[in-house]
Amino acid sequence: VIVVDDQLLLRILIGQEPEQLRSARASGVATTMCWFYRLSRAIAAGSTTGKLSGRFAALNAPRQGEVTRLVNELPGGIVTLDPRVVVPVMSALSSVASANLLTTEAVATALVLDADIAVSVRSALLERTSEAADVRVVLFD
Amino acid sequence: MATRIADLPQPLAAAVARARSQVSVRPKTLPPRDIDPVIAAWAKDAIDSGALAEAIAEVAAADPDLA
Repeated sequence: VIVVDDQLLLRILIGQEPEQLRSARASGVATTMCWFYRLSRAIAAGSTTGKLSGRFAALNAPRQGEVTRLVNELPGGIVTLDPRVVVPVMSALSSVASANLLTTEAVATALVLDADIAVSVRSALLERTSEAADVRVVLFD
Repeated sequence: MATRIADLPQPLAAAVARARSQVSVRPKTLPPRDIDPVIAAWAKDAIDSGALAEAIAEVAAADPDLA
């Protein structure tokens, strides 16, 4: 199992992921509530403001709705952990490394699933926290 | 990846062991989704152009817990 960030999640949803990621997720793919939420929020905000808004304007209304559904209707094959399982690990992890909610959830999820974390962008905080918990982070760009 | 629970400090090791005992993840294949090619191309362009990354950065800037 591999835990993917928000941009890689969207690539998987549209079937445009790097070949190495396709191989890496052969035994399953997971994401976190925070990455799922951040992607959904970015798309929702982008529908009205920012650099994405011009691209949204190029789509007709039904297709704008399809973009939102694409992101918000996560397929059942993508694993997300029940908070009752992951929150105690997040809490315990905070005694090892101090991080924000997104990073703590990502590393805790990887620990529970015994998984690597796949990211599209490097994050010093994520790398520091994952190293403290002996979790591997792999960059796919 | 195999994170050895025994190598983790307490109380993290105990929390991870308890959580793993509650989770059973079997490999799942994602069935191909019937996605409108226009939507797929739109999303690919949003990623490749950096527009999505910019939108995500804006969310993260507004909420440090999502950075």
